[in-house]
Amino acid sequence: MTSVAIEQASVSVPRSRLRLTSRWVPFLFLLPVAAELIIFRYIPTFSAFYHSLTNWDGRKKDAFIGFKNFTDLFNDNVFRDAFVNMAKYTSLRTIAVLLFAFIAAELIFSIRNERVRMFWKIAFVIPLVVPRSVIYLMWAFIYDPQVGLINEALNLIGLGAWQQPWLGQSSTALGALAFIGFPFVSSLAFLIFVASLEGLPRDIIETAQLEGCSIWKRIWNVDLPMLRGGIVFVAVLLILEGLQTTEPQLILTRGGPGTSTELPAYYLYRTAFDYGKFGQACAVGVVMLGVGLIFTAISMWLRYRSAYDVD
Amino acid sequence: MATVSLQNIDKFYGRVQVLQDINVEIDDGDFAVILGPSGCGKSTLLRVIAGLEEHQRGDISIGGAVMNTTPAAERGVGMLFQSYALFPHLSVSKNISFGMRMRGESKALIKERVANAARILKLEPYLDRLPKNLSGGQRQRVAIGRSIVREPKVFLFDEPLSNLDAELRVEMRLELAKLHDSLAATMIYVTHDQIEAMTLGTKIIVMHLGQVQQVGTPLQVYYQPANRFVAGFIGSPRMQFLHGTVQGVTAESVSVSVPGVAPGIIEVPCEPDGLKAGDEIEIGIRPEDLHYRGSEEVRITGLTTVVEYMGHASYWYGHIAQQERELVAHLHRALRVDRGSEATFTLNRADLYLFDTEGRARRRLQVDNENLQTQLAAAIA
Amino acid sequence: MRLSILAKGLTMGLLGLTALTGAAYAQTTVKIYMGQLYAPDSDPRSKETMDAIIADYEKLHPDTKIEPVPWLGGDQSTYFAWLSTRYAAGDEPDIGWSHYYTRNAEADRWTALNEYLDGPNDYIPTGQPGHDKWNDEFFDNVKAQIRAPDGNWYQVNTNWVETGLFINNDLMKANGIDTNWASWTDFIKSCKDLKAKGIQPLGVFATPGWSTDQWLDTLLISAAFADQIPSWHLPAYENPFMKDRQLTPEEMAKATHDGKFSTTDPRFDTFLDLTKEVTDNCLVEGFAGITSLDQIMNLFFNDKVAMAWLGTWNAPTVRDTAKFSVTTTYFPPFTNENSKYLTQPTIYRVGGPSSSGQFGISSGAADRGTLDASVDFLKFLTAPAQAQRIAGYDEGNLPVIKGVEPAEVAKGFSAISQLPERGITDAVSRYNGEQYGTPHNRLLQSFMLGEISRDEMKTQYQALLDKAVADQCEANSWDWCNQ
Repeated sequence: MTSVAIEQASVSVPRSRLRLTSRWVPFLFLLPVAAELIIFRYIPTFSAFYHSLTNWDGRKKDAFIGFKNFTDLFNDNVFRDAFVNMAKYTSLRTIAVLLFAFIAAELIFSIRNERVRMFWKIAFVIPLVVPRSVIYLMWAFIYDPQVGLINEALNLIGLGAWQQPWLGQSSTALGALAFIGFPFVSSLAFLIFVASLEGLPRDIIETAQLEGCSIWKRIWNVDLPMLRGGIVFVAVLLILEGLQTTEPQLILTRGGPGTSTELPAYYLYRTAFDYGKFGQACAVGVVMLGVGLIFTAISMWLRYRSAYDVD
Repeated sequence: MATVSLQNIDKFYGRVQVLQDINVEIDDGDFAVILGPSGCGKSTLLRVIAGLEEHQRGDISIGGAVMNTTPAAERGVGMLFQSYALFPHLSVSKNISFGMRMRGESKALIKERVANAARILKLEPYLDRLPKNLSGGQRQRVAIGRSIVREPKVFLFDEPLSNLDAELRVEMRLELAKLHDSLAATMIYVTHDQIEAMTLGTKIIVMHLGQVQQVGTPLQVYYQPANRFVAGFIGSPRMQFLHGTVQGVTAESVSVSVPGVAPGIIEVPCEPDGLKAGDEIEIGIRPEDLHYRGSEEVRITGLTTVVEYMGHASYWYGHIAQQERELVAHLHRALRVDRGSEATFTLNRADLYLFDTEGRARRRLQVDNENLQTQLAAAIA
Repeated sequence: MRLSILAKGLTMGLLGLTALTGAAYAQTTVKIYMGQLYAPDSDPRSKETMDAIIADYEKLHPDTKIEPVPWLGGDQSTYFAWLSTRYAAGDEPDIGWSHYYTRNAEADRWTALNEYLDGPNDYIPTGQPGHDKWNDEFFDNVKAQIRAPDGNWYQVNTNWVETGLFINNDLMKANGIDTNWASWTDFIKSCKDLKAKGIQPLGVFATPGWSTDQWLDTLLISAAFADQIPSWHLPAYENPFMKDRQLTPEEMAKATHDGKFSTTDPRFDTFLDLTKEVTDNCLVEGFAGITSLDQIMNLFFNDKVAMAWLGTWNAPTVRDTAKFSVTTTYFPPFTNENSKYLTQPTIYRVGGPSSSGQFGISSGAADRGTLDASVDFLKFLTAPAQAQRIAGYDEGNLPVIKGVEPAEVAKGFSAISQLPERGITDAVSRYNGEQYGTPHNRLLQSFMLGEISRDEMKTQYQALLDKAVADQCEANSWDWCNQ
């Protein structure tokens, strides 16, 4: 074929030039992406690794101080508390989100009428357009100890004794933050679970039905194992999100009361922008990167260990 | 007793009627094949029998008990899906025992039945494998195994061989036939493949556009098709239809004239059933009934367009004068006919089929086939 | 053929560029960030007035263009993060807003204004203070307070904020509470009476970040150490016009270094006692879970707290929103009953130059060639004529320029502004850095909640004090550090 084409061509183009153009074009298209990745992702990451060993203040100071930043961090009880809090906050939130989003997805999945199902899917998903900061500000008022929705509701149903200053004491503050967004149906997790459930082969569901499986048995023996990929994916996202959470602290608690709502990402923000200690903030970032990598590795191992759908 | 009785079944999807007045009786031990082209409603009918879909009118009875509102799990049916529907995260033995485990049967019973099914289906070496590590045929056997341990009254198969390659299909066909014999179970089998229907079925239910066209034994639908659709659907290559006119009728024959076919008047041995002289009709000719340069009384000559040499036989395609469509004829494998040459074929007038303008067939008399008689006798027994 | 067209095109382009830059070269652009003084989206009057002021200036100086940056919105953290990134890019505003204590802590970002403040300001009419020496037009107490430890002024202040108690008169009268308190003890009693009737007395909140508890904190600590504070003054900071002034970071650091300000001092216990008393009796329930002043104001407008400690900048909103009658007053004096270290009954005002009109010139202006223009524009902006126009729409701040009258709604705070200054300032400015302020606030909040014991609080707080001194000594190398 190639020889025919060249015979018929009236313009003689040297073969080498032709090949050069066609081979390099894909790389030209990749160039902008590569540039963005290098400039905004890789260079700052390596820069952070370097600066974590300095006393950089964002302007003039930039002297090498070895591992001092790291030793200061590990000697700071606020930093240690932040990681303990992160473990608690992330576990609580991950379990809660997975549970409620899964329940909501199963409820939607069990609706037979196509139109009704679509209506509820849209109803659940529309609140996603509300920006997160707005959600946190709303919950500030929900948790208000005097006029907040929760305390007022408890009062109305006769459980006035259970009223608390939810954000105002160490024992409840972190849990209160983890609870923000309840019932977690307007979430990515919900969307993924609904899509995964709807993606289950219909005849498997029907087989389960034929075999006399009650809905609970089916959910436990069929839905959950087959959704494993989706569940792990959402769990990883939630864990990484917990690692990067700063909004509740910036908007609500500033890490208090005490250190009960300190989280690593907020610690980083404050160290950099309030204290001006960019070098130490880089050290925090390096630690967070390490933790994130460990979590990801564990999740990957969990996901692919004796997975039935991947070789 | 595992009989299945369908009476006046109607089903609608919204305002579209997908099943129209289905009436079928399936006996205990029957291998009933629901045959039809895509979209004829055969899978829908099977799902309605299974209880996976609802029907709006009519009665379904299994084993003598009416099952109209009974949930699928309680109808005593075992269903095999086209894609086998194996649980991908469970091993073979867990797949097979799934239903029993969900129903809380005793461990001993589960073990016994699984072992039994594995033995029958030759799955013993694979009991701990995951479906992804099985071949297509093995997966299908696992699906069958899952149905077997249910000990259902009726097995329902939804195009089970469609996903297999040709060679495996032949092998599995034989296996299924053997399974039917050994289990002596009632099986209802849906397919679009007439070879499967003809070879496996004891009873064929031909469906088209949501309606049952004919119920009969395989050779019955072949030799005595109820209408033009069944006649054209069964048999490969297809029967061909030529226009003609009725010249006269007797009690046991209808004389017709068909342009392009000699002699000018052909006496077709069939029941006239309302036909009279002057009516437009169609005759049906099966390619394999045409003999090249034969000696029978009915003769057709045509101009050769192309001949396909298949190896075991050849097929001749050509034009006949006065008929628009091409004729297809079966040729012995050693014969050679040149393109463009004239070819004459003869056939016995008893091999002709007759249809009126509404497609209704006339009952053929003088069909001489001992196998057909045997099947008919067996069916009645 | 094609090459020559290309060459011509390039040359034209280059010439054009040079022409443009040449034109730009003839004009100086001064970028100025004024915070809420220039908020076109939320306060049209600010845009109208400021645009007019800028237009007037540009008419006088056709070769200078003033480019105002609109208010960024959000809270101060947003602004400071924005400013940091701008500095890193070399793109910061020439004239920028900041708090004097933040500015003094990052002195390398700002130009020292002393030489300009010593010179004349021609935008002030002859005979008025400031015409011969610019610095004369500003109030003395303001100048004294915003001066940096190194002796420089890095900003000028055109106004001042005060805080006061806003009282729901109707609620008080309905419950028979007399708000003419003679002493702090009376005030505490009123709190108890209100609580007995199921009403939350005082709207003050506490977080590890900024909160109104910082104001309360400075009142109590100043009262507890009242007799010691004068002895901590250093000669370098003496101001003959202000005998009671805030301690500067150096004085604070030295007092801590010498062990005079320490948790082992019984005065610190007095401070903790006062804190506990007011927290338990007066502060609204759940004060540690309240996140912003907006929430406090919401409670106040909804009759959920009887009193709110707010600032002059909230006065216009209170005037417009409250459906009940509101009086502005202040806390009554502490007496020896409250702190036996007081030399006389006294109460301190909480107010200061952390207001809307705080301007400094970036240290980068000199390199950019905009320094002179920036100084000149600042002189224009701070002259009484312009300051009065600004005071017209900036109702929540008290002008601190001689000859400029405050807005009507702020006039009530004038009485409060006559009260003495608190000796010890709030946690962030005390040792010149957020990194001491946040742990301070956090410890205090935990103590107020009863989540750490007194001893635990004192131990951790002393550690914080020692660290603050060590860091400050390292950063500033004061001569007494090595003693």
